[in-house]
Amino acid sequence: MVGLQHASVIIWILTAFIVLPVFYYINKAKKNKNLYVRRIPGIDAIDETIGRSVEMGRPLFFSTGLTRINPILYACLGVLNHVAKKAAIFHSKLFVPQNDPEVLAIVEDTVRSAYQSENKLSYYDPNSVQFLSGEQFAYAAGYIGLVQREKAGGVFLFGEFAAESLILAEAGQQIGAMQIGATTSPEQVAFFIVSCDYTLIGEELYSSAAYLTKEPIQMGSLYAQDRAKLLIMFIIIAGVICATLNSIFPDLIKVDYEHFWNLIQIDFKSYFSWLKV
Amino acid sequence: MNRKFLIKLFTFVGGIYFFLEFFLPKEINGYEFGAYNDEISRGLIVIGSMAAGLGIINILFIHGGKILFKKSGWSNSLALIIGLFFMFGVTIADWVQSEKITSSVKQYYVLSDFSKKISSDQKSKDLLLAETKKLINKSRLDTSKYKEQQAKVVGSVSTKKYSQEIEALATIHRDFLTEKSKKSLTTNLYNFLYDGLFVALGSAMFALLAFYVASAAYRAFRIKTLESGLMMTAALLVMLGQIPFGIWVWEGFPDVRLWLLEVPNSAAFRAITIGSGVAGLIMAFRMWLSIESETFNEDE
Repeated sequence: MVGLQHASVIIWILTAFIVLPVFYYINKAKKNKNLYVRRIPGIDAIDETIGRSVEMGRPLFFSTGLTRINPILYACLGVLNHVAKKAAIFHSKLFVPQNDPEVLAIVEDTVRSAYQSENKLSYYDPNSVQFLSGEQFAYAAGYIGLVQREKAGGVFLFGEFAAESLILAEAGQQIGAMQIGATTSPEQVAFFIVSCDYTLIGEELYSSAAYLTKEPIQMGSLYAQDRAKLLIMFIIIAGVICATLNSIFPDLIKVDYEHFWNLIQIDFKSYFSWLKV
Repeated sequence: MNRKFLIKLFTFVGGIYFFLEFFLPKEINGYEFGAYNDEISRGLIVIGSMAAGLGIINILFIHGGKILFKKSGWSNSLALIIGLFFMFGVTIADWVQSEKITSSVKQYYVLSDFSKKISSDQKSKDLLLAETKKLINKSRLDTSKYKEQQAKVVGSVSTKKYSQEIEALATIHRDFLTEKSKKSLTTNLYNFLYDGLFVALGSAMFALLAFYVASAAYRAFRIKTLESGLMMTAALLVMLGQIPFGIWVWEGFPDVRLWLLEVPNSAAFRAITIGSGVAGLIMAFRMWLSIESETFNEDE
């Protein structure tokens, strides 16, 4: 099956409905600093995990899993920045094992900047961001070794994960580390739920940085994405009601789907007709 | 122009191609915007491959330091570095060997192409015959099949069949060298290290999952709360629907399993996918338009 290769008019409209409110809500967040965000236990536990590690004198681990350079990595960097700042303040050791050399460079810079912003650059250890392997299971093997040798106190598993997710989470579980898992991969959520103390599911990963920093840009984006989800929910519910009524009472609502589809196609053609001038 | 502005500019220019490629129609007045997709993707691969060096530098830096200062576990680091360079050497030797085969076979195809271009020029045909003989003498293989094909090639120099015959000779030559290289020390060593060791070790790591699943399931299925009770019930029904014992107990278990996987499970999966898709789209736009948070601008 070939996916959607080019946007239609509907996609244009939907994208505009999702993206344009971001600017409005960023502006709103800049004016009103106290925008309400629902408490998420997993995000609340980030500081608790750092504190517990510091008290125990054990290092912190932050893994971005198999995340490549994409929006998910960007969301993870917000949390990594927070964790690295706290590690710098409390002089706690931080390990960030890496799987992708491109991500390695970005992560290295983020951790370094976090130490620098807290005026603790002298405490920054260049060995804290380590490249283990580009291969999935070689990375998992390296991670297990590192976590168990260093006796991690707190582990953050944020990003994209595949079959290695349970291996990584169980490694921390075995040594009694407090773990927070956050992933957008639906298949791996169950593994994190059973192995980690707290789990952030799907978009909660994106909202974690906004929640931690309360910055207007991140808060505005969070508000806009929630409104976009409301819109999608409304469309789904309306669709479900229409389809259900249509199947129960076929004569009640008569929708000519073919005609509807033709209208969309005509709309599409007329929208781009100016390009053929 | 300061550094910050340049970064924003490059990010915008880099992103606008992919934005327009998706949002514009496939063809505008005969002009196809996505025509350069392959070239641009190749460029991205080149940039990505440059970053591979960063990983190796990081490994050398961290483990080299451990070996030099004899920190704890330095022997493991030494094994890693030796393994890295050994695999590097063997892979390069294997690559050189396969390149040699390719380049020696390529000469036959060059003659084949040349023969297709000349049709009536006798002088060129003489040159082709001389070159063919030179090549055959240079790469003389001691097999009856090769000798037979050699004779066919020489006999067909002035005919239209030449290109077919020389390509058949190239195939025999390539198969012979490939077969020979399979027995070489380099290939055997490479196969042993990669297929015999690396792949097997990866599979062993994957196999560990079975034990981890068992220990995680043991923890998860202790019914302490309503949620864990629901999870246990769902898991039990799915398992009973999957195994022959379940069907033996009640024939309806496979249908229950299918319903659980296709209805509530799919609904949850889609909810996660839609939620993270919307958030990802907004994040992508923010990255593209450099609407960055203060978190990433502190050192500016």
